[in-house]
Amino acid sequence: MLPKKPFIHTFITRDKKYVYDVNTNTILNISDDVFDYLSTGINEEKEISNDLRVKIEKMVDQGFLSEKRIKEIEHPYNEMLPFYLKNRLNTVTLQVTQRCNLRCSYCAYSGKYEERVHSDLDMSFETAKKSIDFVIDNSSEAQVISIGFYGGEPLLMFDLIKECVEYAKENADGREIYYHMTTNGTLLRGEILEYLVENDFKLLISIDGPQEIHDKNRVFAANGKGTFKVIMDNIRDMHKKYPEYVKNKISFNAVLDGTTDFSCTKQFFADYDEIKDLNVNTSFISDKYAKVNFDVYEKYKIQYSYEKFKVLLNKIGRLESNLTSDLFDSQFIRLKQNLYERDFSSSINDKEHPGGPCVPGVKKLFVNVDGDFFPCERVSEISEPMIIGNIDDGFYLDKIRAILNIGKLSEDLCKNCWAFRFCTMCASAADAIGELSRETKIKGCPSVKFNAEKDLEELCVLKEFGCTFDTDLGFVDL
Amino acid sequence: MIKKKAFIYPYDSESTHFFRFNEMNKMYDVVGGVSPNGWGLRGKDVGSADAGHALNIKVKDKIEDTDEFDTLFLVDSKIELDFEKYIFPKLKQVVKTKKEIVNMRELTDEQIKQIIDLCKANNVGFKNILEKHYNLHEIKIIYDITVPVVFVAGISDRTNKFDIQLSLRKEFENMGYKVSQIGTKNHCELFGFHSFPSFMFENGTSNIEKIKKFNSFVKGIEVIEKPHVIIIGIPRSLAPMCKELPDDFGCTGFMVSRAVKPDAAIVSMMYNNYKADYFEEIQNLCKYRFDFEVDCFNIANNQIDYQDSKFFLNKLYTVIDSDYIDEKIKHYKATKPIYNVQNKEDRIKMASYLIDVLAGEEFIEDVL
Repeated sequence: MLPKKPFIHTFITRDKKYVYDVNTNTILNISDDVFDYLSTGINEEKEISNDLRVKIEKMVDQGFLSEKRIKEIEHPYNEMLPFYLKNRLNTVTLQVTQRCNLRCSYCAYSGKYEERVHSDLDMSFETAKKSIDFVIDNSSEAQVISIGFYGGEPLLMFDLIKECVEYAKENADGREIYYHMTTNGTLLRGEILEYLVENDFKLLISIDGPQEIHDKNRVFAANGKGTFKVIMDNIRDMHKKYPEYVKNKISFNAVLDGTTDFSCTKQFFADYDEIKDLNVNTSFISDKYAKVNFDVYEKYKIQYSYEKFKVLLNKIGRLESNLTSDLFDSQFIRLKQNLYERDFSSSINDKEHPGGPCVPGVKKLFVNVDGDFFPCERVSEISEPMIIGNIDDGFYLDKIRAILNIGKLSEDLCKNCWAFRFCTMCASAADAIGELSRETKIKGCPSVKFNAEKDLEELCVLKEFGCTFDTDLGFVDL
Repeated sequence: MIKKKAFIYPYDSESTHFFRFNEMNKMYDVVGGVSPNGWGLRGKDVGSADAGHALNIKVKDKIEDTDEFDTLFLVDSKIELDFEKYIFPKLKQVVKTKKEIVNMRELTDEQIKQIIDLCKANNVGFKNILEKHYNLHEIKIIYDITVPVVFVAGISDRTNKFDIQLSLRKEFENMGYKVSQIGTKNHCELFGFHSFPSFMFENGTSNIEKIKKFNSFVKGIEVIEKPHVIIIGIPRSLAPMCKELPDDFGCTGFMVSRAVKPDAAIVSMMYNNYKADYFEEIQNLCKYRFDFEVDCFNIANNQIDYQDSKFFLNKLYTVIDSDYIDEKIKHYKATKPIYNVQNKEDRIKMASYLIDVLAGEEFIEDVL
């Protein structure tokens, strides 16, 4: 018997036709007639050839084209959530200050977002201490503890950072502790730098590109002048004094402004001596919580797409890697991990949840100056649903559950969504500041499905052209 | 015999059995544990380490705060602890107060020597429990073991296997049986039985030799100790978790099952929402791969975080309150009994059930 409503999604590349089978999480390259049958909606009354019938039946026999849908949206970690929170914590990021010596135009705290704005509030040592204690007391299953420092600009609170490090060393002894920090890089010198090096801090430094691009948006609060020169002088100095530390512990974050020249940005990160051999993460100016539109010029999109295309040519052996940009490395890794290395299954479970949410508090725990807990530093601090606890009360389990099971808001849609495994929407996508909103959330669905289909196409095209995703395994010769 | 008082260092859930089965320790009375501050146990009840019932002893974070013991057990732990940075300085503090050291931790020869020298210099005793010598009968054939054998195995690690082994020993002995045993920890001698022999993990020995030696080892126990029953704990896991974390692919279990055929077996599993067919699959696995029937199951109060473990290439677990397991067991459907060894009533039921399995049909009094 032929399935009436198989849980599938069909798509094409230039040369071939595919069906993504949701239950088995497999991608099948299929013949034209099978594709036409599956993609145009199965019509029971329409006659099909015996040959086609046999093909479909064979697919069914092999476990494909199941009609099974998700029965209930529930996150797989929902049941064990209280226990996760009791013994799986391993990281905390402390907002040591809301002050910043810069006024970046796209900053989350610039007033252009549904978010707090710059202020002169600092975290007290008491709050920091309680936060560190909280993580230690609930981390019996963690091998290491990671303590991060965030702002504003965290290095404005260097003394507090030192106190936290010394406190952690004494009170988290027996555990490996890693420290990390996101910094604008303007204060990275002298005693501060020496301390960070001594304590093996992992640093993420913000650099947006060459001077004219970086200074367009990242300026000093005091005088509005660009910060590029100061930062690069500091980095140059770091290279001289601590070359091994720089090699192992420094990476950069570049916010891509769609009104600038992407080619210049790309070239900068490829050529600039102090940066070219180090890791760079990129992201576009965030539109999450944004009150204004941030333009992306057509020219920028074309340049960006062209550079990405060159990377794909490299992956199929048609272009030398020295002609491509490293800025897309993380995207290829994501494609490999999320799609190429995905797990197969015989069937979806009765209870499933779209792929977006992490476990709040366990994956990340962000503590603001007041000691309130948030799932990460990217959610709005003025959003009440996002406050998942505080240093005195501990976790608010119900609120964490609501964030974890964000798919419940759009359960009827998610249960029937072919792209549920590839969904990237977490609770922040549903955050309407005062509440978690279904309407806000489902606005993101078309984009998720579009990107998921693009990823499937990209994977298939790469495979069609002979890309092997396992070239980094180190096999040389047999 | 007056038992010496012992403290455990570094204490975590790997050592909770010392407290839960303290009365079975032949030589020591374990009265406390010291945990590094950063392990999340400071000030908590020692029973919280394995999320079992409270034991009314608080975990200490400073060994120098107490004088309540004569001996320090240096034990293995699930979190790595640097020897030079943490362990040796702690031992220096301990020997200054004339406490002896009993080592059960896997250390290098150099580290052992450091401790021996330290103890000598301070005139305190040192015992290395891990040093064992085997005097095996010449291996010609595989011998039949003519006393009942009970296997205790785990589908994965962290399945409370050692608790099951101690519990069965205790309950069988309470019923009047003489029990010989091979256990999965390296310090079983403290509880009056044999640790799993180290020759089974030697790199230079072939698997064939290991199987023969193990058979000879068990036969020797049968002949010399003349027990009513032998309990054998099988270390490691019967099956790989995933291709990224295969453990030893069940090789140890396979070798043991070639060396000895059990008359009863309990298989322990981590917690999950298992359906009836999963228990059937495990029974089939044991039957067709290891050639033994599963008589009952135990559900441990640990759950593997499959996704994160695969991603980080490191097994990550969540510990679950034992009471929760009691509730969940009621809802499982399987053709064999399912127990929770952390539940005291289940311990008795598990032992009684296995004795019934071993006893066989009532009308057959003996098989010769």
